[in-house]
Amino acid sequence: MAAVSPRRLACLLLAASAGSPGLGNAAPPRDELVASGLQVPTAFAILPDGRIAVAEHAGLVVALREGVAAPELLVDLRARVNNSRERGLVGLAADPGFAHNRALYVLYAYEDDPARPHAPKTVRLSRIDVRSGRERVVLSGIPADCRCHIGGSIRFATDGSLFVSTGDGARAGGANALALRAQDLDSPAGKLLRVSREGRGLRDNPFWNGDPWATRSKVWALGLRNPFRLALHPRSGVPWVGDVGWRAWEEIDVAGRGANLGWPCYEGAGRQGAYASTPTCQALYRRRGEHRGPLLSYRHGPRASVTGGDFARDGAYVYGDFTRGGLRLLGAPSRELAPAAAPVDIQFAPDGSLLYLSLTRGELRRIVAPASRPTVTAAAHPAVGALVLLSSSAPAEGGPYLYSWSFGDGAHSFSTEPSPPHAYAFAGTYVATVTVTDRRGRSARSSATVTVE
Amino acid sequence: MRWSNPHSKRARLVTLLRAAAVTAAILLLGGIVAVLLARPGSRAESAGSSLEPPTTAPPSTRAPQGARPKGPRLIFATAGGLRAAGDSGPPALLPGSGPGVAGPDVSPAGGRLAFSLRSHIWLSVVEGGGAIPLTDGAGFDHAPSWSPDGTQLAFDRRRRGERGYDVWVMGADGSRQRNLTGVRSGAAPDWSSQGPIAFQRAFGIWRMDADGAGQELLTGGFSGIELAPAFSPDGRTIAFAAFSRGGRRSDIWVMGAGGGRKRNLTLRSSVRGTAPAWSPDGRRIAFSAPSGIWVVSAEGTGLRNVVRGTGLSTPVWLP
Repeated sequence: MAAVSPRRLACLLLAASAGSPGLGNAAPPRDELVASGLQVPTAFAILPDGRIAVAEHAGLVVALREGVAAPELLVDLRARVNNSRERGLVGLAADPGFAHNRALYVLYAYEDDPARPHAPKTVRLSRIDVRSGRERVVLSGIPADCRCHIGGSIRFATDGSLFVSTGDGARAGGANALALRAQDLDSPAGKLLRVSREGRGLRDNPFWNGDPWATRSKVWALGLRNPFRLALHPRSGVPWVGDVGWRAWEEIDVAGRGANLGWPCYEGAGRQGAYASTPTCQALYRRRGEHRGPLLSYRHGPRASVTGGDFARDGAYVYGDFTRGGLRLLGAPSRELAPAAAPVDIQFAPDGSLLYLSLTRGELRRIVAPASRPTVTAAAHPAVGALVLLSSSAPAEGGPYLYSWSFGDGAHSFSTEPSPPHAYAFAGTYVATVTVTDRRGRSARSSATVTVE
Repeated sequence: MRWSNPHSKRARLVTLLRAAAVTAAILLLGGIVAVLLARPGSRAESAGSSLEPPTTAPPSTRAPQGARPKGPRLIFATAGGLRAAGDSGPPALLPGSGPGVAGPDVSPAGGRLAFSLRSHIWLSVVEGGGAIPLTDGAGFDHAPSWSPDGTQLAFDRRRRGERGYDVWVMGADGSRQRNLTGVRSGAAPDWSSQGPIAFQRAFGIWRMDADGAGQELLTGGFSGIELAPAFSPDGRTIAFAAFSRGGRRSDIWVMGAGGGRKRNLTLRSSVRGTAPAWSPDGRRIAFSAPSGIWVVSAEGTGLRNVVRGTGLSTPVWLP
């Protein structure tokens, strides 16, 4: 593989990870740089050998390796990618067998006529062998009539099937009849598709009609606008999708099998008035109970663009907002984790650390939580006579703590004071033990030997 | 009786004195109540801080949401997790729940499900597919109830180290948690479509505004103890369970949203019902009993055991 030109040398700071994210801790997590110098990065995939593959909007996929400054070029699709506005290379996933087959899956707007870059295009899902550069088109013809709303993410389920999210491909200035394709099972626009590695619809898909190449045989869920990012729930395998809103609501949707998530007849939990009078929406409104509203929605306001996130080990869900910036934890306690700039892809690494790509800063960054368990070290400092000053040190970021001292002479103290003085009545050697407990009930202990003469 | 702002000093003092009085009285009935309230899983308290998501079934085992002519109409808790019962056919285990689950409530727009599990409040969708914990061990949390606009949840919480429950409210993402009752006496809230919240305190059913103001006693132990209030969909009627002194009977009653005349819907039966829940059309009430899930009309006719089994509790209707 050729190294990328020095012009775009990346600054690589792949440091030792903090382990478990512990993002529910009260202390604010740190937001630290992993790699910079990326050119409009849009998506990343963690490879089995620890490298991180990053897709860039114009059509490159590069690999970042710990301790190596220059990213390695994996794929160059620039000649085939239309990267006009939101169109571009937007989705990336490594084949579960990447270690031996070196296959990546990419989702991009296909440039069929470079002389007319603003004309309607289509989106492709392709499998790329990074050794040969050979491309095999898996899905094609997904509409990208506008230079917007092309989705999309690629995620492998544990059974080897592929989930692919697609946008409605319809310009958003006013109501646009093309958006109604999201309700049409025979259009791949505005869908969550579930296909084999070769692009076939699967027999246990909800709208399977016997023909693996029929569009409806590939549909898992419908009624999406721009489901830019998705993640599969670690236990149920059900896709959770961030669907970017139009005028009213940003959505986090749980896209169960066959779910109709409503767009453009609904936005958020309510009807979208601009489309309400269309026969398609009137028919959906009559089919009471079919629309599945979002699990979580927040107001679009002047500007917003939800970036669907990923699941922490403890079941919490982290998502972001691309235009407003910021990463939020959904789960107890829900709160903002970091004021991240333009998060465009959010994933937990296998070691539990949270990684995200900042499109505007051209950076891969990591959210590092404070230590998830308290640690403590006890020490004894003889002062005057039998008075001994005992001290303990615990990291401030996990506090406040309760300090429980057992002085070894039968006396105890229980306070928020880390370094209590204690007077021993008799000469001798004692073992003083401190136990610190944080507000979540997690504790650590340490002992120090005290000699009183 | 109507209370002013419960957070004013005077009101608080009155509240505390009253709470002390009723607490003493409660102790007398404690044994009976403890037995009667032993809904499986409904108060299964756990001190653990683990927020492991509930177990779920693989997605491919479920029918398409878009094609369900006779979808499940009732969801209720069992020892193994939430189950959904259709108008016909056997109940199916609902993915996204687990053992110890209780008190499900379906959002007004119909898609979201809040429930309690391991003393936390969780958020999911009615088909399951994963759930998010909205509370994290500040206390033992149960009985979530959606606000009419679907943006908030009321629930009851007993904080660690305290003896009584309060009614709390939070955003539907778990944010802005606040205590509405503040006297360690308030549980099982139900949020009316018209705004107020009904809840149980001591022997009776109370109501209050959604900000905690205007707390008012609606029933005061006329039968023994009344609990588990549930507003009808139009907010004009409250169904509740009333346990007789001695605990031999428990019946499903209805009364006006402001109290007044009360009517026993299960008078002619020995069904021992609790945890009433209104059908979306307001014509029927489901409830749990030792023999399973029952349904009765709002007039008290057509009493029917719709799901047989033991350990079934806290039913709720799907729209």
